[in-house]
Amino acid sequence: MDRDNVTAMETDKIVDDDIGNPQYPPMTILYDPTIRKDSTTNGVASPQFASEQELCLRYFDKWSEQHQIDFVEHLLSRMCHYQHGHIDTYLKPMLQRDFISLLPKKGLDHVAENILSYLDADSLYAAELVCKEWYRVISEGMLWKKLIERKVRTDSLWRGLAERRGWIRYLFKPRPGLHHPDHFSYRALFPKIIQDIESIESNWRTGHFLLQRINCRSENSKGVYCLQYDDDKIVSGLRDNTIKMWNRTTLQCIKVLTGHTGSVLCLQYDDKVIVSGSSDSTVRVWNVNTGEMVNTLIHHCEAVLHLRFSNNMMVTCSKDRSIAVWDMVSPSEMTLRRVLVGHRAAVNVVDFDDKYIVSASGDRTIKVWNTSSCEFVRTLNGHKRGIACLQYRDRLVVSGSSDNTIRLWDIEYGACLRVLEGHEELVRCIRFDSKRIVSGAYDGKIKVWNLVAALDPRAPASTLCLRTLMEHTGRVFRLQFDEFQIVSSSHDDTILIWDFLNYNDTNNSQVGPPNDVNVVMGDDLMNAAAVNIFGPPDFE
Amino acid sequence: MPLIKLQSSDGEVFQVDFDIAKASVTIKTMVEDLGLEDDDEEIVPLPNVNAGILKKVIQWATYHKDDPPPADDDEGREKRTDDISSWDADFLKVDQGTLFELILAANYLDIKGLLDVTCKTVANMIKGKTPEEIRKTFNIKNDFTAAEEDQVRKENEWCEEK
Repeated sequence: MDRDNVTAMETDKIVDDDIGNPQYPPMTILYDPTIRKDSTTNGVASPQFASEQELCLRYFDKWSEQHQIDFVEHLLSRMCHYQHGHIDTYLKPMLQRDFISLLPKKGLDHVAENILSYLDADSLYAAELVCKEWYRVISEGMLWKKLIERKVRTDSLWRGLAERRGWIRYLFKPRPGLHHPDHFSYRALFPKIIQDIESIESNWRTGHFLLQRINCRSENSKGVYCLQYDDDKIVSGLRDNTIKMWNRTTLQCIKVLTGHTGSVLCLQYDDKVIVSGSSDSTVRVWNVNTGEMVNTLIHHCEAVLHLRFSNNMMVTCSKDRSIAVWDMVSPSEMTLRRVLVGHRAAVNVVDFDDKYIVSASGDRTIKVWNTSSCEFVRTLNGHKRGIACLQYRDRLVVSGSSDNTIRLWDIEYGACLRVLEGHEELVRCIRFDSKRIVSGAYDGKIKVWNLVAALDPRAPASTLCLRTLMEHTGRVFRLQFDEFQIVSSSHDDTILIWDFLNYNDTNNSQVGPPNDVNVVMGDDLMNAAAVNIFGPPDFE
Repeated sequence: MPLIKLQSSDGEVFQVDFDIAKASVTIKTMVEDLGLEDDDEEIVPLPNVNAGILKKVIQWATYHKDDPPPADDDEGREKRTDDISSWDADFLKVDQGTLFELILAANYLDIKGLLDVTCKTVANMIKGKTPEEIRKTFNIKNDFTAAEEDQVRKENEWCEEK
């Protein structure tokens, strides 16, 4: 410090004389290294410079903004690159704004928070480290909590995990009497959620799961042809002509629906009805809550092999080679809108959305129909034997065939995007979500495939099958899955629940009601987040 | 279409189509509350917005006059920042000082569309950067002590593992 002061004072003295000479033409000074150095440090001290500068400024202040700009531009044009660089360095910070620190000073914390709420986790983490004020805005704005809430609202994996692990009760509006913990708890929770998600992904990849088995104990003809599940129940259609409903927690049969006089081959339910199709050629409608049969549709002349309904429309298909399109006016009033013919063998499966109806048949083809006009659109050719199963969503169709392959199709172009080989027998059932395809075959094997890679033409075929799951001892007839589990049914008369959520190294031998596991895991999660306030599940 | 007069903080008066000016909820409410719709001579004073910024705001509102009204509740949607139109991106190629003034004006005038797009623009300046890069971008001094910085880092070690 002292040293610098001394130096500066000495320099001041020396340069006084130099600047005292008004003859120096400005351009020349600029190109003389010694004088340039001196003149930059002496300006402040010269009384003559000070008074001249004052005079200039007095004029300057009198001018309009536009004139000021013109004048400074004029000045700048007379200066050299070195000076421009210097001015640029001086000017740049004047134009910069620390938005996040400045907005709260104007009482606009919410605007600063709004900006930060657009950040993903990595950027939010970097933002915390910028300076104390940013850190404060992030804490006081509860931005980690808001990030978690946004993930839960927009991502089904997060949503499902929040509910299953129990931490959803710390999100959104607290229940009456319940206080939400502070910012730091959410900040600690976030990485725990990421770890949890990674361990689920890893369980899928490595084939680690908790297996629950429902034995249907059918009397004479054994086998479970179809099923659908939610968090509370599984509804299954059996070879013994019944529909059985199972409680997810106790795995006990809670209802048996009788009426069909042949095997129940397909079913779908929503919050009001179950619709089932059977080898007795009928479609029946049941009240999902009471189990009462409310309607029987006699239309097809052979077994009803598959059906789908949504938005007051239903499509059924049959061994009689036809497809029927129905309007669902009410559970007791279903009217036939149209019959689609064209397949030259049994129609094994249908699926549809507002744009297309897609059907697949033992005739080795997939046919696409226009949903509103019911007109035929195109045929997808490629499978070498009959097609048993298919799902259609957005513009992707995934089909499984008796040629042991799975094919991925672009419905708009009718192009086959990929052939998945690996199953050694007929591929009987198939489902996909945004990440995976899961397929079941007649040899009892279930395969999990990487959908994202399968859609990438550069991915080598050997990398596409993530896992083969072998627990069924008979043909796999039907499966459904989500981010956390697969539920499958088989000719072996069982329903298997493959739970990738609750597996870990210590509890893999423990097969208990899933809800108990959830509660324990949920609290562990919060405790692991080192947050005392998160103690027992309810701290009212 | 009726014209209204807006006066900036530095006294400049702008004649604007009311259909454009009403993008600002603040102006719309003021005009309606004061019954200025039928009065050509009355001037709406905007003491928080200078002429330079007001000019830009009017330019923005003019371009966006036929936009559908902004959704009230965007809670349920994913917060995207990659959906800024190329016109807006060009319009917002300004220095940070101007961008800051635009945010203040959009907030004061209550123009949701402009506030959203300016906030997104700032968010994009933060995204994907290291703390030091962020400081450089906005000319911020790191006021954490080494120990404090370590503490914050430690609380978030998971991010480093990626």
